[in-house]
Amino acid sequence: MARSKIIKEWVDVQVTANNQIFKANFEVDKHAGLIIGFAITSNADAMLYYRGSQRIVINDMEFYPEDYESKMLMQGLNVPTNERMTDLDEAILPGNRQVQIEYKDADHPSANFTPYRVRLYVYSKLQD
Amino acid sequence: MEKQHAIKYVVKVILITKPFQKIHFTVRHPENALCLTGIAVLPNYSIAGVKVASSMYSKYDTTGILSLAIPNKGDVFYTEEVKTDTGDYRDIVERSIIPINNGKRFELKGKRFGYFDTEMPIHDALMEGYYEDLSMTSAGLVSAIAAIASVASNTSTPSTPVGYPLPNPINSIRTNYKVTLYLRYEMNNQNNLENPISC
Repeated sequence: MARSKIIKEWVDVQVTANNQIFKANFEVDKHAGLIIGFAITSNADAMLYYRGSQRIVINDMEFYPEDYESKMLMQGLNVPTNERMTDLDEAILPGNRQVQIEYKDADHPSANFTPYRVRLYVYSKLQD
Repeated sequence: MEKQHAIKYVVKVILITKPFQKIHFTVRHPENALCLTGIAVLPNYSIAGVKVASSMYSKYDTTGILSLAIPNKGDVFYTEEVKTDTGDYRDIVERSIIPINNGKRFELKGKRFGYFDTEMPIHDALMEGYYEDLSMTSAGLVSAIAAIASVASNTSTPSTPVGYPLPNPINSIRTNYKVTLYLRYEMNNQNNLENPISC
């Protein structure tokens, strides 16, 4: 697939307090034909890894349920660049183009809380 | 009719509240699930930030054992030794990278979690599971506790005179943690209910 045919968008979640749920949503580009993958990053990787979980809803249908840990969607620097996207295993029709993330922060002894930012990337394939 | 998701993810959280706890649990399969196609198990039990504990563990230590079985038949189809998170994600290749500048390190983290791929057809509404905590049985921990107990009774250091209570390593180890079971299902698509596809 030509790299120019993949759209990369993201939405930020500012985690400003511990043990709370933060929501964000955005609309996928109108030219997107299929949603093909996710990636999740943070400006504080340890926080995201130990403390984070999220629920992701696409087109009003739940894709990742509550308590789905962020570590399941993370990957390290040694993973090849073109493989850093978490493949959805099925291409999703955008439908109403709404993507929602409900990010939950929870205490963990290996990562003391300070405010941090979480970024959800959504990869889409251009319509033909 | 708009296409439904053909894949569904289910998350089951198992809470461990005391050492050596044994937990029996059930997981309800989603309606219209055709096949269980992926299994992943992750503990949040980590000693990465606990200085006393981290020296006692290796990344090969076992936090617990999880098994999944078909109900009423006792057929165990999946077993996993859940490993302790030691915060060490540098594999052998990364360790051989020599720092370019003194005092600076070039670090790579190549870890990535994924599902164990399987194809188990779903015939029952439920699945049984069993988890046994083994977090207190690591070889390093047992020997370290014995060593500390010996030092406390026989010797003193300039900072810890005889009779002064040393930190209890047991208290440094978490006994409250969770194990998250991730299941990935292939669903019978709404459009295929009249002509279901076999797993």
